[in-house]
Amino acid sequence: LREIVRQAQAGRTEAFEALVEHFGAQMYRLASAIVGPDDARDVAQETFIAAWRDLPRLRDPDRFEPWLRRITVNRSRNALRGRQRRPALSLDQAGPGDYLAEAGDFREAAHARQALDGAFAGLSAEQRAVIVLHYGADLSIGEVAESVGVAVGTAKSRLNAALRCLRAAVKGQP
Amino acid sequence: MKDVDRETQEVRSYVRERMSSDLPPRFVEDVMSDVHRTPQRRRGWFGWPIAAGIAAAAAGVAVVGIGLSLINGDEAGVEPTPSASAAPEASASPAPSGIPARPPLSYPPLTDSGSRATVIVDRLEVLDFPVNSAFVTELGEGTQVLLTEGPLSVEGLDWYEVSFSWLPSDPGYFADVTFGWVAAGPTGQPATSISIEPPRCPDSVTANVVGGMSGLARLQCLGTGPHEVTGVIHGCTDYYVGGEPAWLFTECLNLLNLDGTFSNLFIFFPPGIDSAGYAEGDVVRVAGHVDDPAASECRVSNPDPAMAAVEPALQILGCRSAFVVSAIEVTGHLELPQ
Repeated sequence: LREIVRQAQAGRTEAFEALVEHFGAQMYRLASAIVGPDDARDVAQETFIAAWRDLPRLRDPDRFEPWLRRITVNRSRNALRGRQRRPALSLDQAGPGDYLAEAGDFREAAHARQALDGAFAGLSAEQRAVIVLHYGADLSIGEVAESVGVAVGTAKSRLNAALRCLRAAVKGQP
Repeated sequence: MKDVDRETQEVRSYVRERMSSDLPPRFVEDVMSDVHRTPQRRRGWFGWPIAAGIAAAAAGVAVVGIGLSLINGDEAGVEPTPSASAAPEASASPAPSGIPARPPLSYPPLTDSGSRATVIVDRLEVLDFPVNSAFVTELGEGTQVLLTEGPLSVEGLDWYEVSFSWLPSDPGYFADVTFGWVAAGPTGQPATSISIEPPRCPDSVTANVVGGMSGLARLQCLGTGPHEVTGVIHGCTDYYVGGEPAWLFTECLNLLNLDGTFSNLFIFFPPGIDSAGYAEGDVVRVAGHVDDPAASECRVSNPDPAMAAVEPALQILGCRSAFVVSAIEVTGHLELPQ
């Protein structure tokens, strides 16, 4: 991988294409988890363009993956910022038609999902990023901090705040 | 504890479900189509001609804009990025009307305490981070920013983390603002790329206010003096990463506001002050301070080699902004909702 990164740093587009093929799905999923599927493609695409443009600045080719992840998080953060004024659908705001009519466990599961959706929509971009990186991508707090570009303590406090919000949503279920 | 485990597991499952999407068709082809049209940026990784910048700054000349124009300019056939000619992103325009109500479970707002600054060069490059960093955007002359961390001295330059979509008329919603790092000027000298205002500080200090302040604002506004806050003890989460001194890395207690909402204020117990014996729901009055002397020795236990140039200094900044308990007493108890 290091050699491929080096070749891409030297401007070889076929090497960079190999990197896109290797990391494309991973970064798309990360973006999708943070911003949602509607914007994830744009975010992931912007991420790779930015990575290509700035790749010569990457000092250590071995750090390509966390570096790419940080770009993805930052682009996701900016994408969320762009729609910060959009109202988020909460459980209180959802109309009857927004709820599923099925009975039993499935209805309970649907309500749980809705509650989590509502809570997730209420998270800041930073909180979304840390919760996705930690619980979705199984990164350690240190890796999360690096990916988000904040101090470890900051990553921890954001994670705790996010986890509290989501756990509160889980608790609220019957 | 089992409930906590179950809830955390549900959160984990939910997050993983959000990550289950497949890559859209033609993604790689579309990316490569853009790549073929995009030149790489082949000058300094730093976004700043360091030697020239320091020399000229020493001569009393603000050269940041010139340096940046060289970096982003055309002398090597590099096209300026679209944002280079765009209007500043953080013009001090009023917030649009009809702002939706904030979700009830959102992160507490970042107060607008601390120093604001104005970009005083033509174009100021914003990076994700001072090291191994990607370009975020450029800010035009006159753009107002809020300084949120720093200064961080890296290779002879003072860097600040800035928030640059913060609107003065907005109460300061922390959630979706954009952050990045900018080089302000040579270390220890007056900034040459931004004009920094004196900090604005809150009239009163509460757990919510301190929890919402940036690290820099805490240091600017709270100084080393003790401040008293009241809140409700809330539990902790185990983490994988530690450091020294251990008590500055033990975020086991955080304070809720008296209405049960999250204040994001963690309290740290130095040696000599017992952290045990507090139950979740205890209402406590805490006298505390930031910039504890021990923070200057603060070290993360698993430093990242790739961030060796900045992580120690950044970690010290984080430790300095920790709210350290000087005295604490329980004044009551609240039953927190289960």
